[in-house]
Formats: sequence, structure tokens, C-alpha cells
Amino acid sequence: MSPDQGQSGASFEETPRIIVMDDEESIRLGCEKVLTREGFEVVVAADGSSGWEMLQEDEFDLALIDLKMPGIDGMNILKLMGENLPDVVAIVITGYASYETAVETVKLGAYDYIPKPFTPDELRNVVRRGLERRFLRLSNRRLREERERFLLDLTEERSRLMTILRAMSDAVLVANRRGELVLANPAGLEWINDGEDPDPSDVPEISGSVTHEEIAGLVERIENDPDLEGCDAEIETEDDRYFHAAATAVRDDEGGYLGVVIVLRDISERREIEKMKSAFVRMVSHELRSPLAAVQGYLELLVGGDVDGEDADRMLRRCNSRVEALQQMINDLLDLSRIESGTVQRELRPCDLGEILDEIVQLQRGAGIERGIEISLDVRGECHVVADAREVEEVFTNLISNAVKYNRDGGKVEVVAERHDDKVSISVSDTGIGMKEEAVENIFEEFFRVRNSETASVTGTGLGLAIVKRLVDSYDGDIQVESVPGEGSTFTVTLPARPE
Amino acid sequence: MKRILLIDDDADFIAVNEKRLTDAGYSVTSAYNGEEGVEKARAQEPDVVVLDVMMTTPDEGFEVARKLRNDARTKHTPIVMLTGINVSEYQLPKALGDYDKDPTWNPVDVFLDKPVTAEKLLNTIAEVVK
Repeated sequence: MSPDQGQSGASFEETPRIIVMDDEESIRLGCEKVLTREGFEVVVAADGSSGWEMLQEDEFDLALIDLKMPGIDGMNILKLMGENLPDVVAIVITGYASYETAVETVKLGAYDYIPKPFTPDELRNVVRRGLERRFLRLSNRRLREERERFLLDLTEERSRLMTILRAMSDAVLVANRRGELVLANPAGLEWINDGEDPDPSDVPEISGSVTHEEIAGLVERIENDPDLEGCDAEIETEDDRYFHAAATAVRDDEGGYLGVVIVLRDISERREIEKMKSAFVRMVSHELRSPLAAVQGYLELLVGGDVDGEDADRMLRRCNSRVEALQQMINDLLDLSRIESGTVQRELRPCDLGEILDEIVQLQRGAGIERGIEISLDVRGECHVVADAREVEEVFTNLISNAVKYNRDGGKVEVVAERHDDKVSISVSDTGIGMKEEAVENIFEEFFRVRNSETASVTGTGLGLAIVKRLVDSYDGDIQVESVPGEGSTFTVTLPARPE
Repeated sequence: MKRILLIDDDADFIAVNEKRLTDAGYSVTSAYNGEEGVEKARAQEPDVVVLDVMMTTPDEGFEVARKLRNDARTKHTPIVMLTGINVSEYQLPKALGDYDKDPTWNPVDVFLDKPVTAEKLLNTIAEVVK
């Protein structure tokens, strides 16, 4: 029989190690011989003291212990083993077997006993049973350790899970098969505590059921449909926030319904951006269709032929100007998008605003002359900034051309550039139609234009000032407006001066 | 002669439609923004209002429609709304907000997309003034 397999199926990974403690040499030798032949590793000790030392130093599976020994006797060895080595199987060798001794040794933790004298077969049997016991003890110990490790893992896992759940900004709710809430993270508690701040140290285990109507609806859908893996909904709260709620069914291996996990994500910001985007697209669409509608209408009238020469001329000129404006609008839109996305390739150089303004004023004078509008320029002190000259030109061309466009015939435009310490301020004043207060508030918004009978004939994209504002902001500058309806407006740009 | 009020912030578009409608035998008045439009509608009680949606604000046309519907003088005046955007049906009640709900009239009678051909505009107006 191989000791590795044993008769009862017990098996050891290594050769079983046995210690024999007896002061009788013949017993020691006999045991060693019989047991070594069985394939076990055998160590012998002639007295209790050395035997106990060996037991402590090496790992043994089984100890054969004589009760009567010099040094530490068998009873004391049993006591020490019970306290320190509970898994090592002890078998008592005794010369005067009595019921009392047997009971006492078993009480002290001995597994069995073998009375002297014994035959080799009796020894083999008692050792075999002892080793089976040892094997059981080892398996039990392994199981116990595994179980403890598993529980430890489980606790760790659970606390890890809770930490993750607590850290999540998304709300998580878990309901069992009866629709009762069994778990929620702090963000989730807000959905069941009517917004009361939960104690963050609370173990997020709660009781109750899903009462929120829309969430309960999701849970119900999953409960009632065994094939439904998940469903979602968008929830709008009373304080105008938007949430995406996703419910996922939890099922066991056989598909049995266990419960549902609900995750709620705040998507208000995304919705806000979407809203702004779609408002912008609507505006662009409107702004592109308006000139198209005008041009289409004029062309239809002209093709119809029922228009006299003078009117026809006027219509063609209007078509031309609307198409130009359309072109300008597309350029402005592209500019705006370039500024917004930060893809403008700038060339920052020292710019003399006096020179740049002078050039712009010269160019705009042509547009003013037709309507008797005078443009004056006054540059006081060194007005130098560091900027991309093209952008500076764009800012002031926009402001000065607006001052001309929204002026009255025979009006004036005054451009004043001044140096104040480390800043340069440039004001553009007109004597035009001016603006009401609410128009002043919105004047830098995309597509905002003052629209009334006075401005109806002025073409513009509604993007010029939005671009101006963004450009000025990008140079850490500032733009202010003052306006009196019927009297005129003043736009004042302040830019950091070039350090000397 | 049927009287039409045009409310639109685009002077060219108004010029085009004035010509189209005058040639077709209508009497035309124009307003260049919502406020002016509501005033003229109340004063003149036109047979049809042709109204642009986006003027000073994106929803100014809806605001005008709401005001017209809440005024006894213009409660039943047909409104033809011109839009540069596609207004879906669900947006409309939201945009109109609160108004005196009356099942016998529509907040807006007809929507027309900009640009609109003369033929389409004239047919639509002929339809609603009946």
C-alpha cells in the first residue's frame, strides 16, 4: 500500500512524518522499522524533553507517545501538544492499559492508544487510523482558512464596492425582486429622501420602495417583461434639471429575476449645450434663409417681367447687396468658429493703433461721403499695442462701419484713441439712431440686431459685434457701450498698451 | 378689397411681398417688428396677417401670434406664419405659452417655409381669407 493513497483514500502531499517517543529502545527500534517499511519518515526520541523539542522544531503528522518517560512525561507532552500543536495526531503507548488512563489521555487530546506489547499489525492499524484523522484535520484546517479568507475578501470587496458607490456622482439604486430598495449611494439617497442631505457616513443600506414615479415605471417594465434586459428614460425634475435613468435587470443563471439596478446621471449640462447648439443652428438657418428669400422674391418678380426699369434696377441692386451680405455672413460665421475653436494663427507684433485707425478711417470715408457723414480721428499719445494687426483691423473696421451704417444722413463719427498708463482706449462715437437699454444688453450676442423701421434697410450679419467682443476679450481687453436712443452710441475698447 | 398685414423684419422680403400681393389685388400694410405689427393689427383689423417667426428675438413671431389671439379684435384673424426654420407641431404650443384656449380657432392657421414662391403665398392667402 502506498502511504500516499492510504486505504481510506486519505492522501498527503508529502511522506507522512511520525515521531516515536519512548524510553524503551526496543520499542523505538521496532516502531521505526515497521513504520519505515510502510514508507513513512520516522524520527525517534528517548525521552519527553528531546521529543518535545523535536516536535516543536519540525512538522510532524503523528506522534507515538509513551506515557512513562524521563523528563517530560507523556501526559505533559499531550497537554503541550493540545495547547500548541492541536493538529498533530497523538497516539499513546501505554504499558498498563486501563479504562481510566484511556479516558484521561483522550481528554488531553490523544486520538487513540496502543497497549504494550503490540504486534506490527496493531501498530500499522492504529497509525493508519491516526493518519486518516490527521488528514481530516488538515482538510478541515484548509477549509477553515479558505472560509476565513473568503469572508475577509467578501468584506473587503463589499467595502470596496461601497467606496466606489459613494464616490460616484451618478445616483445608484438597487431594488430586489419585490421592488424594495436594498442599496443606494449618497447621490441615490437624494432620490428617495426628497432631496434631504444624507449622512455620508451612513451605510448606504436602506429600506423602503421605489416611489419616484418615473423610476418606479422603469422597475415595473423590467419586472413585467422577463426578456427585457434594460430600459431607460429621461427625467426632468422640478428644478429644471435633466437626468438620464437607466434600469438594468439582474437575473440569476437560469434567468430568474433577482432585482434591478438603476443608475441616474445628471445630463442637464449636456442638454443645455444641445439647446444652445440647436438655438444657434436655428438662428443660422434663419439668417441664411432671409437673404435667400429676398433674392428669390426679387428674381421671381424680375423674371415675371411686370416690373418697370427703375424698380428692376433697384431690385437687382438689392439682390446684389443681399448676396454680398450672405457672403459676409458666411465669412463671419467661419471667423467666429475659428476664434471659438482657438485655431486662429496669430502673428503678434507691435501695432501702432494711430496708423491702423487712420487707414480704416480713410477706407470708411468713402461709405460716409454718400450720406454726408463725416469721420474724424484723434490720436492722443503713443497708442501702441501688441496684437495681430489683422484682428485689430477687424475690430475697428467693424465698429467704425457700424457707426456709419447706423448713423443719420449728415451725421458724425468720432474716433478717439488715448493712452492711459498701461492701457490704450479707443472710442468710436456716432450721432445715429442709438439703442434702447435692452438692445445694449444683448448687442454682443450672435445674430442680435436692432430691428426696427430705421434699421430695416441696413444690412448686417448680426455677427460683427460678437466677433469684436471675442477678439477684444482674447487680448484681455474690454469693450463698453453707451447709447441714447435717437442721439447715438459710443463703443469704447480698452486694450493693454505695449510695455515700454 | 381684402386687407393684408405683413409683419417681417426684412425690408426686402416685405418689398417683394407688397408687390406680389398688391399686384394680386390686395390692400397691403407692413410692419417691421412685432410691436409695430400688433399695434397695426389691432388698429386696422386686417383680413389676414402674414407673420415672420424670427425677428428681434427667435420667438417674436409666436409672441405676436399669442397677443393677437388674446385680443378680441384679432382673435379670429387668420395668421400665415413664415419661418426660416422647421417648426414641428410640438414646439408650437410651448412657444405660444399661455393663451386663451378656444377649440374653434388655431393659434396659427398655416405655416410656410421661407423662401416662398409667389404662387404658394397667393394660394395660401386665398385659401385662408375664404
